[in-house]
Amino acid sequence: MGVTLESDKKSNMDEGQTLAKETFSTVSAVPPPTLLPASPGLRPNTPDSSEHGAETKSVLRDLRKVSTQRIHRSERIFQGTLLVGGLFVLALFATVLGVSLVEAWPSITKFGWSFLWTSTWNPHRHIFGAWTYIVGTFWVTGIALLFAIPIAILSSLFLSDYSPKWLVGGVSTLMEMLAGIPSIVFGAFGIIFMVPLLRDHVEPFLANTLGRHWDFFNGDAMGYGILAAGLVVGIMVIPLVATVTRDSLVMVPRETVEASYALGSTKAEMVFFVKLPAVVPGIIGSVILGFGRAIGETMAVLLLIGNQASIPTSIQDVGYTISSLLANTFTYAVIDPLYSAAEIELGLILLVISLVVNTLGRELLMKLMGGRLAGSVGGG
Amino acid sequence: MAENVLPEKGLSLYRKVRNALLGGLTAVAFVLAVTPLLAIIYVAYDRGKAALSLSFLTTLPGGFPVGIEGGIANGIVGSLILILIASLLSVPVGVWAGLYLWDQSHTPLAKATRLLSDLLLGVPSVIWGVVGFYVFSTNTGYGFHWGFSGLAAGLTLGFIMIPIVTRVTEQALRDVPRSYIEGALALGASRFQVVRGLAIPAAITGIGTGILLGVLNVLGQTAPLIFTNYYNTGIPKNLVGSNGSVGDLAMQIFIYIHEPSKGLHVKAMAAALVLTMIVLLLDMGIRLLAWGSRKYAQRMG
Repeated sequence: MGVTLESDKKSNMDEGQTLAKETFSTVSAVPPPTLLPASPGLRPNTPDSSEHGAETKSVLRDLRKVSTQRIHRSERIFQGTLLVGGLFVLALFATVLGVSLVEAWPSITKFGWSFLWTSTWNPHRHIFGAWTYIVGTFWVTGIALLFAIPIAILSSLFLSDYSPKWLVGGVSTLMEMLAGIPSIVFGAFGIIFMVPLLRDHVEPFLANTLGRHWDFFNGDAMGYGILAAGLVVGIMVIPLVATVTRDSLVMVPRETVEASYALGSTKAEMVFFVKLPAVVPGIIGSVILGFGRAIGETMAVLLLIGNQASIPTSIQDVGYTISSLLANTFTYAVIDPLYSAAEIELGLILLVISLVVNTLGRELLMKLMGGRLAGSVGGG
Repeated sequence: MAENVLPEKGLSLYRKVRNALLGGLTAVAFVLAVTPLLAIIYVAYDRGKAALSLSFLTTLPGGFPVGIEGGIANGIVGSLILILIASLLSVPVGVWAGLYLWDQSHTPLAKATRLLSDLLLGVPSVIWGVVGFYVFSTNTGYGFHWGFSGLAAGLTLGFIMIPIVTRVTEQALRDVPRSYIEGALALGASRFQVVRGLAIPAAITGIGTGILLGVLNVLGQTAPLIFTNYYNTGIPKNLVGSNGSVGDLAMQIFIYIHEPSKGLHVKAMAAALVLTMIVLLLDMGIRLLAWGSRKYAQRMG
């Protein structure tokens, strides 16, 4: 065995090592001085017994092992150090979830599941229920998405197929940039521009046309309310949905498009009946992300929804969302443990919804986009 | 376009009309999508221009109601302080975590970390506010008991930034060609040497972009500040405790627009214009940075 080893490695070894090998394989005594220059500093004490050759061999092996081990150890230490960075993120997530759970616990234990469908919210009598706010949140999100999704999808179709080439780059960049405008600016815009517009023109018009037949469109034209909040949140969501949809439109294979033309379809038939169905998964993903963005939207909604704890029955009604309630009243609620716990349980509901929604959207888009970051940051 | 003209020759009227209508529909939708976004900038300029001047940027608010005279210097200084604190927390932690995700990208723990980091991106900002309140600001129970203060708000904003920086750092590192890394490892470089000497320098523009992106997202955050900082009409001497609140541009807009005062609304729109311009300039900077690094990479081959 020793001999085969020796023949394998012979070329790599210098004289002394070869000698050591030979001594090992033949187990014969070789004078020590020939060993020493080959491995200076390895053995400070020169071995003088007949087994020194075998020892040298094992030392060399140990040395090799030790040095690779040392390298491995430093690599492991470095990787462990990196791991700490990852643990920070895990700890942050645990903090978010933990704080919300712990602080909401009094309310969770007191009200149980009925918290979800109770519509009373009375801090003085200590009765709390989330229903009003959940409904308000979904109203605003629903209006926003109904407004934003068709516009976003159609405009991304325009950008991908209809618009002149020189417009595409500039406009899509512009859209992405405008998506970064802070939510508070949208809110201020809503108060200054959107509310008067709705109050003086849109809402009276709605009441006089559709409102004659359906009470759903009737109401006092105040400007503030779920319609204003929903429209402004919709404006905020459009760039996100449009960008993600356009990213998936770009990935439709050229062959599909050409095959459609070859079969004699017009441009619109190609775009709407071939391209659009091909990107349905991407659109669903973008809508899910838009939903996640809209549902957590705080400042614009807070400024525009009217902040009245009632369940809207008409599109012109005022209402309240979970996020706007928290931003509006949380600093009063902290005096009373149960009151604040109920508010945080509302926040927890919002958190769970947005976590679920974002997980879904992420998985879907990751599959489509191959792991690239697609999506947004929760609204301000 | 040629492809548009050719097949239409023998079309039925219905298909011709449908073709034109659907095409027109996309154009209308496009106009509807872009107009409101541009209108925001125009409205902010139109309603706020009466208050705009250089001294608006450099004076503290005064008069009654507070803010009717003077400018937004407190907000600008406060926003800068908050961003500085947030960056001091999130840049090291985010880059660190991004390195981890890149280096050990296929371990189960890293996959879980990546998922949770992505989920943190979608946490609504009110939730961050509540978390920041209980961790930093509250005076009862656990936490740091810093009161409503700049440090509490800055670190809360840092929390928001961490997942952004993490994710963009990881992406930037992944864009470094794998062959460079493997070449260095094959030459016997340790992982630390690879990270310090190769991966980070190659990804530095991407990481810078990520940091700026985080700042961009944090700059307009208002909701977390309601829970951890609120507002200050002046510039504070310390950042912790009951006098530690800082002013903030976004918060200033919120407070001004909430007041039933025409004068304050003008100031609010002017401040909104300033904030929007800062955000858009920052965004443009990010794009130039990304574009520049792409150019550079192309030239390097």
